[in-house]
This record gives sequence, structure tokens and C-alpha cells, in this order.
Amino acid sequence: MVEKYETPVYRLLLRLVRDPSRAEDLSQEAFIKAYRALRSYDPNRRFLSWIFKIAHNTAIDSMRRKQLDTVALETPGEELPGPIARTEDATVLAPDTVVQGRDLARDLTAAVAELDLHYRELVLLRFQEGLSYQEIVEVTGLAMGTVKTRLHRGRKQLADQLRMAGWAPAGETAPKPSEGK
Amino acid sequence: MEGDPMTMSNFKPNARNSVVQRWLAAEERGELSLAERYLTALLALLPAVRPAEGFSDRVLNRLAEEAVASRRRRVPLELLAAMLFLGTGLALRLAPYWLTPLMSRVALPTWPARLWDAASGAGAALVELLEAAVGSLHLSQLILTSPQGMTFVAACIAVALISVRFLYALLERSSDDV
Repeated sequence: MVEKYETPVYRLLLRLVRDPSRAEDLSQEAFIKAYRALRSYDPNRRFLSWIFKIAHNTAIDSMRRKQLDTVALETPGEELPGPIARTEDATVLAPDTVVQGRDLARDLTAAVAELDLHYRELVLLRFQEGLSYQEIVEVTGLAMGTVKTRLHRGRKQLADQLRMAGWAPAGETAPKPSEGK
Repeated sequence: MEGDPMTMSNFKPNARNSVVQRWLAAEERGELSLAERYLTALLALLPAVRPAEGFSDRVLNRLAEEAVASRRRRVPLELLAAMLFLGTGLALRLAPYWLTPLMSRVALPTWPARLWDAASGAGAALVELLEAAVGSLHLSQLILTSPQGMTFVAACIAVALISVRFLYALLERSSDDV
């Protein structure tokens, strides 16, 4: 159970709390709680969404206790090379394309990290972890309408962040790019 | 999808077909379904992360430590409970030897004495109840040792069973109606 789900659980918690050591502690706590509560698991439900619910509650409890402030995303426990760097046929990519890819990954990471916590979690659950709307409702305990509203706002906020970072499509009035890009 | 955004050869951030720009354009046009697909592809470009090596071992170690600590906590509590139980039993068994001297030496305030009186009264009432129960047992013995008594008891039981069955059927029917 742990080996199969450690990556998605850790990934979600890391992007929520933005502290690798704290994310690891919370991940351990989540798996321990899941182990204790295994008897209550409903096989009709997807296991991933069940364990995400436990991870979500664990993160919320932790944040309430510690009232974590905005923390820049440090180097995670182990960061794998991004999809750009992992390409086997690197000769297809021109050097500037590789650099641009890294820029996008960097700007995307920063944009996600800057999302409001409530939006960030829903955006990650929906578009990174692939949960359905109903599963997100079960994980977070929010009403369906609230989930959809927050997802809409989260997407808008993310879009604004990326536009401000200079990723607007051609033809759009591109905002001033961020420094250092 | 056409021009899979995950294909490296398509990745040209400043060209029109880049996934981030396709997503932003779809958002601008309000094409929700398309925008969601592009956003899913875009978030796949986030740097992959995973916990440090040995994570599952650390979880298992923690579970094992908690199990050991839980067993250690249980043993003293069980021992304490056993000692209290034995002590109470001994004290009750030896009560005639220690209770009377203690009561004579200790001057109790008024309210414990009243409480004791109330408890004694309750005890006396309980004894009377038990005596009445014993009396009814004699009556039962009388009934059960005579053929007429047995017939009467059997008839009462039969009537009771039929009544219960009838009542059960009534309740089932009324719940179906609901």
C-alpha cells in the first residue's frame, strides 16, 4: 500500500504545505492513519481517493495546529528530472527549447505554489491526480458547487499568474514578463 | 489529441501550439472541456517529486514502534487492574476484622452516616424483594408439580406466542404501508 501510493500522497502534501520535511511527516502520519482505519475502507470506493481524504484531513489538522505561513518551495526530498530533461532524444530539442522548458516548469511550479491554498488543492486533485468532481467532494467534504467554483477561480488565478510570467499566447496583450526570464 | 502536448518535438513555447498557450487560449474562449484537457497536460510538466529513499521502511518502523509502545503501556495497566481487583476481594473477605475497629475509631460527619442509613434501608428493601421472589418460587414449584398447573402454564405460553406472532405481523404490515 505504501509503495504504491507514497508518491501521489507525498506529491499532494508537498504542494500543499510547501515544506519537504513536513510533507514527509504528514505522509507518514497519513499512511499510519490509513493502516489503522483499513477496516473502514469501502471497497466500492477508489482507494486513491480514500487515502487522499486521509491525507487532506491530516494536512488540514497540521495547518490548524501550526498555522503554516507561505514557505517557498524548497528542493523536495527527491526531485526527478523534468519531462524536458528526461527526453531520450535530446538532439530533437534545440538548446533554447530545453531552456524554455525549464523556464516553464519553474514558472508553473511558482504559479501553482502561489495559488490560494483552497484552490491549489482542488486544482492538483483534479488536474494532476485525475480525481473526478465527485471524488473531490468526498475527499474535501465540500459541496459540489463549491468545488466547481473554486476550481474555476483556481484556473483563472493560475492563468493570470502564467500570463504575468510572459506565457500569454501570441496575439494576446502580453503582460510585462517577470524579471530574470 | 492532435499535436500531443507531451511530445517533446511539439514543445515550442513561443509557437502557437504550445500546451500552455493552447490552454490559455481555450480558457479565454471559454472552452471548458478543452481547457481542462490542456491544463491536465500542462500540470504533467510540473517537476516530478517523490519522498526520499526508504519512505515505506520508515512508515513500517513507525508502525512497529507504536505497536511496541502500546503493548508496554498495556502491561502496567493490566497489572494495576489485577492488583486492585485482588486487593478489593481481600479487603471484603477480611472486612469483619478491620471494618468494625475502623468504624469505632473514626468519627464520621453526619452526612456519611445518613448515606449509610439510606444504603442500609435500600439493602433491607432488596432483601424483602428477594424474599418475595423466593416466595413466588415456592408458588412456581407448586404449580409445576401438578398436572393442572402445567396445563395452565402451557396454555399461557401458547397464548403469549400467538400474540407475539400476531403483533409482529401487524408491525410488519404497518411498516410496509409506511
